[in-house]
Amino acid sequence: MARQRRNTPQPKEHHALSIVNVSKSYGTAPALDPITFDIATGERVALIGHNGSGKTTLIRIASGLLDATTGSVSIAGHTAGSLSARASLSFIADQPTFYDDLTLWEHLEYVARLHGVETWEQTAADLLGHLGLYDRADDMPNRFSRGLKQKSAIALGFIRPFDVLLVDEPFVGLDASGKEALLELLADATTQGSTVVVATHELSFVHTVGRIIALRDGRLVYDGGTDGINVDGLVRTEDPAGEHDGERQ
Amino acid sequence: MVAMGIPRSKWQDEGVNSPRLGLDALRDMRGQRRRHRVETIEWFEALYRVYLAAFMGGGAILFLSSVAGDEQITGQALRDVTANIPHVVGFIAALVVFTGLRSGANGGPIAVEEAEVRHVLMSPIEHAAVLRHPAIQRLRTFAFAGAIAGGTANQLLGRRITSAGTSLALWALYGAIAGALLASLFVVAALLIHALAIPRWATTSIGVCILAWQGAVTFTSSSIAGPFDFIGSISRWWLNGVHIPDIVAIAVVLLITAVAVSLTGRLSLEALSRRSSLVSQLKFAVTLQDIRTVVLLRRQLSQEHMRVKPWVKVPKLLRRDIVVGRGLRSIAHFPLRRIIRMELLTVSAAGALVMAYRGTTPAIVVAGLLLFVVGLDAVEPLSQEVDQPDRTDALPLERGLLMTKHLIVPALVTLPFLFVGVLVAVVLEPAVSTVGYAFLLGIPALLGGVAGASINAVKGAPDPVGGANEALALPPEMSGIGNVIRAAWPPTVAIVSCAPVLALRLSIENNSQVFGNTLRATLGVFMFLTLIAGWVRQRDAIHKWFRTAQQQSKASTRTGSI
Repeated sequence: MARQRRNTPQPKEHHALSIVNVSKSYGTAPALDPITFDIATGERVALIGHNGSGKTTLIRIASGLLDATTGSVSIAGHTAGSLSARASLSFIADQPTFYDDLTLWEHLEYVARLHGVETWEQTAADLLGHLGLYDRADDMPNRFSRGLKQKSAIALGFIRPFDVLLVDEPFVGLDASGKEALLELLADATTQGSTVVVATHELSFVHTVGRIIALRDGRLVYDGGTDGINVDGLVRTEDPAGEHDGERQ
Repeated sequence: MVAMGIPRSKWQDEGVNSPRLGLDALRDMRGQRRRHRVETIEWFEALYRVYLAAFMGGGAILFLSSVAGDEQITGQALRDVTANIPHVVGFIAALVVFTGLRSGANGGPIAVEEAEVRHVLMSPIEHAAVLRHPAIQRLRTFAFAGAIAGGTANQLLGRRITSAGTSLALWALYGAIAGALLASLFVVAALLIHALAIPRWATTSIGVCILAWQGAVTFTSSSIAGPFDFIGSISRWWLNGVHIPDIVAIAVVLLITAVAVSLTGRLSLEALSRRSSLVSQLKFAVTLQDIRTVVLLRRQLSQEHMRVKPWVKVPKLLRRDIVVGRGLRSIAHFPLRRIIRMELLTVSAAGALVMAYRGTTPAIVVAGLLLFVVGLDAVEPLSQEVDQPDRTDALPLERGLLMTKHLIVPALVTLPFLFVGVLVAVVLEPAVSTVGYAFLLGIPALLGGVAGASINAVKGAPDPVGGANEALALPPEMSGIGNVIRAAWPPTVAIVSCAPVLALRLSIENNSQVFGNTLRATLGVFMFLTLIAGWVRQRDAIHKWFRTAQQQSKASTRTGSI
């Protein structure tokens, strides 16, 4: 039996992220079986699973970018996709997207101001400096390499306020210094009380979280702590050991 | 550890419902981007584009006016025209609404930039504030194009009915109003269906009901009014003056338009996100006249996926030839929606061929184009092969032979559609002889569609910087002609293959060897199609021979000059 995290019902307190019976089908092809879990404020969670396990689908539903076929998602008590949920949630997608006609600095200004941030310049300069992008601020991010695009997307994800940060495969294409900078930013966000959920295979991040949620073939197969967990076993496509390969060793 | 601090926002102080939150940024950035675009416009190029548009538009109008002719419509013909205009224009409007409904069910009609979805629509700004602008833009574009088309059509008609005594300017004005309304209906229908999240099956049902109603009014002697007769009635104001019920209908359409625009905030983020990148690729493919890419992107836009489980398992006997077996397996995975679409297109093409038989010669163009589209679906196994040139070239099999073998399955696949077409012909022209002639005309017509689609697949997408780079030195008026011929050739094959119906009609009119003449015309088409199959088989060899001859010619010219 897959290990499930038991959540004590707390009707009056909103979870940072609440997924209730969420499923998704593309036409007749199921992508996610009904999944339910909650993530408390300030938690740091790794969402893991093999390719095609449903991580990106789940994280996109949580961000409001995809409509769930069944179930509901709430962000800090607000329905995913609603105005309040969008204000509370920052989403860094696996495929960075930029305007063709705006520089990185203009992107930062735009995103910050869209979110009502009036004093954004210093934060933007700090972020760019931290990610090693300061010299590229006046370049067009759409023409950047994969790694620089990823760093730019990270900067855009952090230039605005958030209570919940959803990140999909952020380490792909990043060099060692980029990974280090991102890990520091994620740690900083948690320190300041934000909830961080990262879909990743990056072990250096997985080992820093307090909780792992594992998906396999669109099903939730593990939700619990990280102590002694066999992460490799959780991301396998097959389940040769039956139901227990996510067990602690 | 960094200590950058998460920035503080106005929404944390004023709440997310603060009306100005983010809107200033949106307005400023849109203004800034507009200025950027204006600053980067190459004015010479822009003027050249205007010149080209005027050149092409003027040419199209001249062509249409030559088709329309100048003979005056009088007497019974005039009475027929004035009586039928509302229904016929109404039927065109019903078709436009049907496609609009389908577009809405597939996530249309708006396509915003992917970055706009990711950065603006996911920020705490009301979606309606962001999407109202592109919705109105889309409405404006359609209304403008419709007004131009409607004004031109009515003006051309006006030249043939000078007895009405109406000035040509008024003719154009009434046509423009009707055209603008007709085209806007596409956007309005799509917006409403998308915003109200009406499921695809319900949308199709609504569309079919509307089409059936307007079709019944148009093509039967029914006395009831069609739902879109008022649009045709507007274009006919030259006859009886402004009609009050039409004004009321215009007001209703404007009201519904306002409702549709006000609902833009309810458009699905998922659909907008899916369309954002696909539509820009689609526009690029259309620019390049790359029909295959257009077909693939259209399928993605409407989420038309192959069935995972095949309809039937292809028997081992039919899989003895691996290419034929691969083709049959591909067809066995066709989604139901595609099969129904192919059936409907065949039914429409059969109807058009019957119209051509009854005397409307241009209907063979409609039939040919419809069967060309059927062919584009039928040649899917061949197209898939062409899509993978690296794999094809690595096979220990001559490319030409592989491609020719891939023609077998699409040709066989058209058989069930042939029976449907024959049935339509018999229903429309009930006679025993219809069955025989329908088979005689239907086989080359369907195979012609497949042949046209095969040419389109085998020749692949145009290469803007490759083999055609000599054409880059030519002015667009000249190189454009080459492009038009290249794009028009495949559908022309399909249209030519429908021509035997004209031989049948002319033979009946002249009372001379009806069967013999039709058979000869059909055999002529078969010979033409055989040549096309031969071209598919020998295409690489022909190209190779041509290149060698070209090089030898260049070499001998150089030797001669030394």
